[in-house]
Amino acid sequence: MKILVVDDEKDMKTLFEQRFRKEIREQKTEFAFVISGEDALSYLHQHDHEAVLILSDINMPGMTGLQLLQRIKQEHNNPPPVVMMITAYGDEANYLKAMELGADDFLTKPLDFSLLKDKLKIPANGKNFSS
Amino acid sequence: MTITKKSVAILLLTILYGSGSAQNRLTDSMQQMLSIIKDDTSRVLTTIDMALQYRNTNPDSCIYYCQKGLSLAKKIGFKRGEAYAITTIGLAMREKGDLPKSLELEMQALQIAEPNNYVIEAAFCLRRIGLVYMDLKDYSTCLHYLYLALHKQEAVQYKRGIAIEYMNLAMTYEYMSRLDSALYFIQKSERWKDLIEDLYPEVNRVFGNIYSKKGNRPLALAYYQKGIERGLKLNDFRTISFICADAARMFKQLNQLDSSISFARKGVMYGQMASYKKGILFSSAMLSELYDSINPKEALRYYKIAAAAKDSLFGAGNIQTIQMLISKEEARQKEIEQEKTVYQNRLKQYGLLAGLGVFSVIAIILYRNNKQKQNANKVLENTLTELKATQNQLIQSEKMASLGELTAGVAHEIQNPLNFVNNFAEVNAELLDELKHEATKGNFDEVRSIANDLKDNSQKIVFHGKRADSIVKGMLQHSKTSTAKKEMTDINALADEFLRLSYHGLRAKDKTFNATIETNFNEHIGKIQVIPQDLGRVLLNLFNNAFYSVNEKKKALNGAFEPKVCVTTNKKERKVEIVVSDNGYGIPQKILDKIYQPFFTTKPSGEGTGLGLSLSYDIITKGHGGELKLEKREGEYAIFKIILPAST
Repeated sequence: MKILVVDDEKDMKTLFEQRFRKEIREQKTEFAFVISGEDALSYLHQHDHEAVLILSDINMPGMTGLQLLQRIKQEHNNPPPVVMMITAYGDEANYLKAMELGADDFLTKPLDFSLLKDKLKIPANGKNFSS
Repeated sequence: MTITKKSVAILLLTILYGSGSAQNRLTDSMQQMLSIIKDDTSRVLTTIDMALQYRNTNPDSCIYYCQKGLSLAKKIGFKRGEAYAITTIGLAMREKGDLPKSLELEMQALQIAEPNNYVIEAAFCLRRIGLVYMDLKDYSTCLHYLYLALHKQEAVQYKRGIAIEYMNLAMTYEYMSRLDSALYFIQKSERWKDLIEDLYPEVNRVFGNIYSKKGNRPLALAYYQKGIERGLKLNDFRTISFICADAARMFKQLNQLDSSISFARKGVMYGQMASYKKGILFSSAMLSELYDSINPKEALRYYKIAAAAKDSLFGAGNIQTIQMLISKEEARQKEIEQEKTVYQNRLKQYGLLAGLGVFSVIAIILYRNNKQKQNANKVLENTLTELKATQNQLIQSEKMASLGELTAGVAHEIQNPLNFVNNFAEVNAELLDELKHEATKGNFDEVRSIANDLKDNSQKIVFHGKRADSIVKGMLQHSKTSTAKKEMTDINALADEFLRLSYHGLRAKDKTFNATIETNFNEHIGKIQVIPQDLGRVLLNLFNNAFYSVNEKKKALNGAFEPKVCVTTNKKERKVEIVVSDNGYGIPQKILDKIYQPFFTTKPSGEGTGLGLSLSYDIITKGHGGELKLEKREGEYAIFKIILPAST
């Protein structure tokens, strides 16, 4: 399973790599990291159908995570990738906006990795990724 | 009384007026004289003359000797001596600050002197009544009595008295800010300076005050210094104390606080040397104010000195007593006046009636015009009040909104670093288990690798912990009302200091960083009242932003760009302007309304808190009553203007 992480916090890369070191070592999960919405779109463009799960921050310089979500849902619909929002701004307005734009899940920082791992086993759209 | 006695008395009066250190010598010689003089009337006059020496330094001793003279005068039925004694006690009472008693005594003495035609004594009483009114700041009444005194002395051509009255008149006109009249009289009195040599320091003081008010400070200072010089020769520490207080006041108005403090301290010192309570009070009260913002300890010290001097000067209920006394005296005067005027009034009435008719017609026309204007003004005033109220409400709601934004912002912004702190800490716990496991298996390569990860992670924990700390500190700074006080600050020096701080700070972080710095300081802006720490923080923010912007542009253009940051200071009317400009990227139109919002930043995460401009805006507008303005062209430049009121 390939996961694209979109976050302007560069330490997210190290964190994910360490939190998922077992999964990476066992080659169950593969990660790609970008630091902006623009980068995420060009990655998806170059690696179509590769990333099946996108974890995106909302508050980023340039394109926001919500704008990214909207673009992904509009442009990549065959099949649509699963997009989970991960944000420090866990207020209701952000949550509703994300859901309205078609987000598959909504997680808040500080990120609970065991919760995230559970969700990866049974993602929001019912498909099981860990198989 | 013989002519000789009279001239002896006047001669003594002339010698003794205001002299200080010669006091003991003279007292001794007078004690001797007293023992020689067998004539009782001469004894009365000499006793009072002796008392006069103590008028400034020890009013109580003065009163003691006067009362001795008074009882002797009463015993031998020496009316003139009685008047002389009473008016001198009145003088001492004025020095003590007991104005009601002084006024009462002077009037009592006048009632003896007038009917008996003791012209000089009557003139003394009138002068001293005038001076009490001067102390009460009732200058028109003061002038009235001083002119009466002058005319009496002119009638007998008592030149010394005339010269003194000129000086007193000049002093009063100076207090009234009628400077041309003041100058006229003080020049007249200076022409007779040989007659009032002992009062010459005082003459210079009045000159100094007039020129100070006229705005000719160098000339004023020259007169003050001449006055002090003369005072030192005469040991007249009382007048020196007075002059120092006046000079201190002048420098205070000019905001030259060092000179002001130096003079005020001298004022206290000479006041203490002369045991002159009023002088001590004036100068120490001023010092307490001057030190208020710079040195609270000294401020308190001088406040206590002032309070002690004040306690010994003014008794409670002074003002009421004097008011009663004045109304009593006014009633008496009115009775006399009424009798005189009833007859004259009848004559005038007819003339007045005719005039009144004409005036009423004009008055009605003027009244109508005025009424219309007043109505219009009232409408304008109401509108203005409403506008001000609305403005205050807007500011208040803006404050609340910004506070709300701030707390929500902080709560969320903290989650980002916290995310790393929590998760890396948890990862480290897991890694330690793995480490133990690998160690027991003897996989030392793996152990080393895990140990390295552990070290990196703990560094990240520290880094993000500190980041959270700085966000909270930034918020505290934002919400806290500054406790620092405003002080006179050299704006150019402050701007220069923080420009260097900013530049070297960035250089320390990034060795490749470079920019041209241009400063255009207007040397005439002088010092103004600001909170230096706060204004410094604003300047640091603006400089950091400017350097950041030009540096980004340089990186983007691969060095084909000359980065430049410029600071300019200007004075415009009653305002001081600090302009920080750069030739960086400017600010895009679409984020213009956000730049002052807390936590808004265009910098990559971790590099800016987004509190800089928001804080700066608060400091300039709320903290200093100034303005923070922005001019920009996207991609070309940004100019921030700080406009501060220059008044204190």
